[in-house]
Amino acid sequence: MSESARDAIRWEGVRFRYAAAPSDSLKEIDLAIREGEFVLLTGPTGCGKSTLLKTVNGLIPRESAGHLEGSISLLGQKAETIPSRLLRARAGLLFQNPDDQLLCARVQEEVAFGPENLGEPRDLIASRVESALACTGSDEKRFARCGELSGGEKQRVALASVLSLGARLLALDEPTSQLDGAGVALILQSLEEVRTRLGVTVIIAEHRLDRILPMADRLIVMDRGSIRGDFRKGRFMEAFPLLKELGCETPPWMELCALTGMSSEEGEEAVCRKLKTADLKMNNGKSKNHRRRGVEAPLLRVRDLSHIYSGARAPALDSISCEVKGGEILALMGHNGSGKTTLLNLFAGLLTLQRGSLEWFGRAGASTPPPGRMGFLFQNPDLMLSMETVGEEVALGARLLRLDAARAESAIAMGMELLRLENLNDRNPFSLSRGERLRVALGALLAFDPQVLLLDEPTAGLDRGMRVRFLKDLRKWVRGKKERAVVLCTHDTEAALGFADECLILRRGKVAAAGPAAEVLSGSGNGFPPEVEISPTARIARRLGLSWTPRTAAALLEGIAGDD
Amino acid sequence: MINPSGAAGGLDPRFKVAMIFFTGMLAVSLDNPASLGTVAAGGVLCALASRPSGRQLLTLFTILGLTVWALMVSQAIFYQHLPRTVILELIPPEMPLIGSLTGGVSAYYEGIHHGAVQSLRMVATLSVGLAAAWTTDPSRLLASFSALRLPHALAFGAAAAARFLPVTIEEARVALRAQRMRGLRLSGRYGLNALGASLTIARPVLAASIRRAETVALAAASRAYDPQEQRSSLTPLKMGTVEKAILLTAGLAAAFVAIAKVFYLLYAGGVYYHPALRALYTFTREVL
Repeated sequence: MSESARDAIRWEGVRFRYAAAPSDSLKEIDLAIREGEFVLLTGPTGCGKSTLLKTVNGLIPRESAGHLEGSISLLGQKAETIPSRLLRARAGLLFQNPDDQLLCARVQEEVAFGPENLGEPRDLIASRVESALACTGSDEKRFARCGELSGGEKQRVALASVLSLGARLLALDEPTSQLDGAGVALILQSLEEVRTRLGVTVIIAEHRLDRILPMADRLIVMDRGSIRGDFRKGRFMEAFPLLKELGCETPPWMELCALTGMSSEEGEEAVCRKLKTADLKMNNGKSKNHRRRGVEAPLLRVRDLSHIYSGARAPALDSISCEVKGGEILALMGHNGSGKTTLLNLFAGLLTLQRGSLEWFGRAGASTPPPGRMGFLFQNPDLMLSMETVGEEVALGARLLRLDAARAESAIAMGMELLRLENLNDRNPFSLSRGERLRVALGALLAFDPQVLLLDEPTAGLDRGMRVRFLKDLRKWVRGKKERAVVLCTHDTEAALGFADECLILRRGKVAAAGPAAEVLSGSGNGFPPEVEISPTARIARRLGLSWTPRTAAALLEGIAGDD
Repeated sequence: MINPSGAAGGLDPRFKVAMIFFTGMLAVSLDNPASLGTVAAGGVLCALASRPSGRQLLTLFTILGLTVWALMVSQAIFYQHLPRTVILELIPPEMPLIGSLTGGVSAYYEGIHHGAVQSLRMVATLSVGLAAAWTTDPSRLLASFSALRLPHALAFGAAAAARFLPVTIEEARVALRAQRMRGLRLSGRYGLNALGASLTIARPVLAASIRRAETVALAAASRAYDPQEQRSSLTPLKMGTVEKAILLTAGLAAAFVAIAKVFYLLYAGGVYYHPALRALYTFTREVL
């Protein structure tokens, strides 16, 4: 970025309040972003990141009910003087979920949709489509159907669709939050390409800083509608106390710098270099890293389980054998389409057993689990909420399953207390935040006192604070209870490392790796499984040449320093 | 899922829009059950010729089956014209309380027949409409509406509905599974449990659809979609000779049926009669 670069966008005294909202979602925003900059915007959920991004292309205030004060300029021109179509052509906005923003059946039509809306001549549309597809690495998928692409490929097509408008400024609202590791890698690779080839200004809102921070020129931290910090490359470490204060995710190298008191020279590579040369004793994992293995009798036992959907060429599951023991959390991992959800559905008794055996709670020969013993939290917890109040929602399961009054009362009270739902008792579930709705959905399951909880990627899109609280609640529920277990389907290696006891990785319907989470996810033996995104702490451990994988940065440091 | 790669996918979207219009015209104008049945069968054949997937086929027959069933049952009960023949007494007038309140409820043979005829109209238009939706990319549909000078916001709404219908169906399935896992039973007396289950899953599915609708609208607006503005198209619309010939034939047939019906109604109402049109009157009464 040159020093003479002009402002791509400037907010001056911007305040915005949604209609009927009790307070401003944006408060006195004064910010300028130079052309060609790559800006990472972070902050806790509800801090105003998405609202700020919507002002970039005029969705706020033009398409949203609310009141905006202050002034926004785009490439030196007041945004309110720019016609909507032109504004959208100059500044593109990419949303979280690729499935909700792809409107056409095929990739080429999808990418052409924007310039067609601008009424551009055919030749120009064709060249824009060509360039956007090439830049995002989607040219080979030009004639593919959007519905058949993976999550990462879909998000790349969505990115190409925004680029084809000719946008000089790209705003991306958590574009990787719904993607697996492979998807995240694809989209980041495309963003790097876009940045270097087209010199487009990028503003990206994200909770997970680890992968994106190295690409950023600036880190902006928001909280409650205000900008709390603005940090330039080379000074990111200064953001650490603020990120910690707000409960935001911090990359492990930052944690290590803070823990060791190393200088603020940031970057994972630099930190690892320093650690390697420092006089630190390596005790190779004699830390609190390892959890006990489940020694209880299995609550679920699967032998040679296979399942094929009608019309499918290959089985969704092929000769799977595994166990879920009492008192443990089993992380179920693998690429999208590897069979994780099919296995969860079979555990839940929602699919008919075709081949192999599945024992629920030591009972052989049953075709479904005993009623009320399995709880299933689906990927979108909103689809589980059906009552007028949180209290009714939580009590529904116990009522439908006709639990005896004493057991129902105790289970409901436990669910409400564990998930801190007492204060929300009379609220409508749909009026709550995403994190609260997730807690209500989990509370509604715990309140009928199931033995095994099946969770299908429940933390996707949550910020670190919410994710950790949710997983801690789960651990509290299961830890030390031999009659309870959790099966957690996730793409989040950090979550699996931090909270799971065992890990099962599926690859095209088969078991690719299985065993204690710390061992499987350390990649010892056959290398790191390609299905999972290497966690930042695991990556640092590998850079340091450690033969074990720490669950957290603190565990890593403890392991390095030793505690003789 | 939209499948624009089959033979029907290559047809000009204006041809499909016009065919939906002509089918609608025929379905409204025709009264003769045999003729309506022929048009409905043609519509279903169109839908089958669009090479639907297994899930689409299931959707097609579920929608058509429910339409026919709902119209026949409702007309059987609420048919008001005379004469009418009672084939089943659902609530006798002498039944305590409810009998006197309703005056008795019966199912009528003529009502079933009337419902069946009405449902054929729906089957014809729904089948052709679904076939078009399944085989046309939304952007091509928008282009055809622009070319036909029709408000393309209508096409956008229809295309978005077709695009997200499978997602909504999947969400309904997940919502139902979630409730079943919490102990909801579907079987029960008089289908009341099924009714209760439908209400239970309606709320989350509706909430999810509203949220998605907002995202879809914002995503479209972010990509410069404006229903008030003219669009251009990457792929030019091109109608082949065969399409033109079919369109001309269908258009002439629809126009002929409509005109014949008008003349017949004028004659039947005693407004206008011309002896040279006697053959047309007879044909209209017997066939149309």
